[in-house]
Amino acid sequence: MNAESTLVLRWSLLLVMAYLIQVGFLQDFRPLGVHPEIMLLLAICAGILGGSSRGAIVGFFAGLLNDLLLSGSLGISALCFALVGFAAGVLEDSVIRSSRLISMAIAAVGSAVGVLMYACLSQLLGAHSLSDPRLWLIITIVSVINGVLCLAALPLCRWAEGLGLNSRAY
Amino acid sequence: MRPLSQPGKNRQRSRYVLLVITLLTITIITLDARGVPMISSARDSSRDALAPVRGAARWVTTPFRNAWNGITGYDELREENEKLRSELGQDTANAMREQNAQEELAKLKEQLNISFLGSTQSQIARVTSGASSNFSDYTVQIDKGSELGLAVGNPVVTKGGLVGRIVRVTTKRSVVQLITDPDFSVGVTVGADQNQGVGHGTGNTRTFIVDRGIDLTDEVQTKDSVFAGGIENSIMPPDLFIPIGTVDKITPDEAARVQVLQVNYTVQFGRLDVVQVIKWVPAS
Repeated sequence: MNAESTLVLRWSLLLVMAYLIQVGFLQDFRPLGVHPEIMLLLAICAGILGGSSRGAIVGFFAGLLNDLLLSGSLGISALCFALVGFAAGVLEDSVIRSSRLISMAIAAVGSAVGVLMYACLSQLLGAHSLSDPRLWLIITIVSVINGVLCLAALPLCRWAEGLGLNSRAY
Repeated sequence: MRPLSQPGKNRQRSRYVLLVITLLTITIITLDARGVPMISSARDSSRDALAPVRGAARWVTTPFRNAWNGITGYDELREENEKLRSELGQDTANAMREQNAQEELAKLKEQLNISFLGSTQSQIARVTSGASSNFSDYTVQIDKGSELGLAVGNPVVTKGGLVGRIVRVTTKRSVVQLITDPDFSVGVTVGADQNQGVGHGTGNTRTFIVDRGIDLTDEVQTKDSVFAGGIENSIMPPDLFIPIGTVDKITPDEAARVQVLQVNYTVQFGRLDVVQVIKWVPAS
C-alpha cells in the first residue's frame, strides 16, 4: 500500500471514529445545552498538521458527514468546515514557531468562526440560526470545548497524518 | 513536524483544492435546495444506512451517557433515588419490569385511542431523536418511513393534539417539522363559532400565535379551543379537528383589524415519545 492510500485510509478511519463519538456520545454531552462539534475540530486539526489543502479536504468530508445528522441543507457544514480547515492551515503556516497554546487558540477561534459561518449560511437558506437567542452561547461553548479537546485530537490527527503519535508537531 | 511549505507550488495547489471544494459544496447546496431527486435519494439512503450505526454507537455509549446524565441531573437523580429507596421494600425486580411493560403498553394504548382521529388511517411511530444541531431546528425524527406508507405532508399527532407534519421521508425513518417552528403556518378554527384564521409557531414550546383571519368583531374568548383542520385546501385534513391548544390571551390589532390570539399548546413537547402519523396528504 503506498503512502497516499495509507493517508486516505487513516484519515477515513479517524473521520468515522469521530462521527461515532459525535452521534453516540457527544450529542448528549451538552454543557448548558450545547454539544461540542468534533467534526469541525477534526477539520481544524487537519489544517494545523497537514496544511491548508488537507484541512479543506478533511473539512469537506467531515462536514458532509455532519450534514447527514442535521435536517438543514446538505453541504452547509461541508462548506464551512472546509473553509475553516483551510484557514487553520494558512494560519498555522503564518506562525513562525508552533506551540500547543497556539494550536489551542487556532482551534478555539476556528470553531467560533465555523459555527458563526454555519449560522450565517443556514440563515441565508431559511433557517433561524443567526437569530437564535443562544447563538453567542453556542459559539462560546463550542470554541472553549474544542480548544480543550484539541489537545486530545491533535495526537490522533498526527497519527492519521503519518507524523507519529509522539512527534512534536503541533 | 510538518515540512515547511514551498511557497509557490504548494500555495497554488491549496488554492486550487479550496476552489474545487467550494464549487462542489455550492453545487451540492444548490441541488439539495432545489430538491433534485438524485441528491435527495443519496442523502436519504445515506441516512438510512447510518441509522443503525448511530443506534449501535448510542447503545455502546449508554453507560457514558448515563454517567453524564447522572452528573448533570444530580439533584433530580438524588430525589429519584430517595423515592426509589422508599419503594425498595415493596417492589421486586419482576414487579418493576412488569410496571415498565405496562407503562409502555399504556403509552401505546393512549395513542391508539385518540378520539379526534375517528376511523382515519394512521401509523404509530416512536420519536427516535430530537435536535442534532446546536441551533433550534424544530424537528424530530421518528422510526417509521415510506415502507409503511408514510409520506411528506402527513400530519403527526399525539393524544394531546397536533405535533407537526412530516417534511422528509426515507424508507425507514421520517423527519417531523414541529408546530413550534416559526415557519410552520396552519389554518385554524377557533371556539364554538368556528372562526377561521391562520396561526404559526413562535420558536418556543409554550405558545402558538394566531395573527391572521380573526376579525375584531369575531367572538373569541380565553380558554376557547383552537383546532387545526376543518378547513378546505389546508395542510391538515378538512374532516378532522386536531387540537392545538387553548386561547390564553387576546390582543386586538387595530391596524390590521384582527385579533391576535396567544394559544397555549395542549401537547407537551418536552415529553414526546410515541406519536401517531395520519396517513393523509394535502392536495398540493
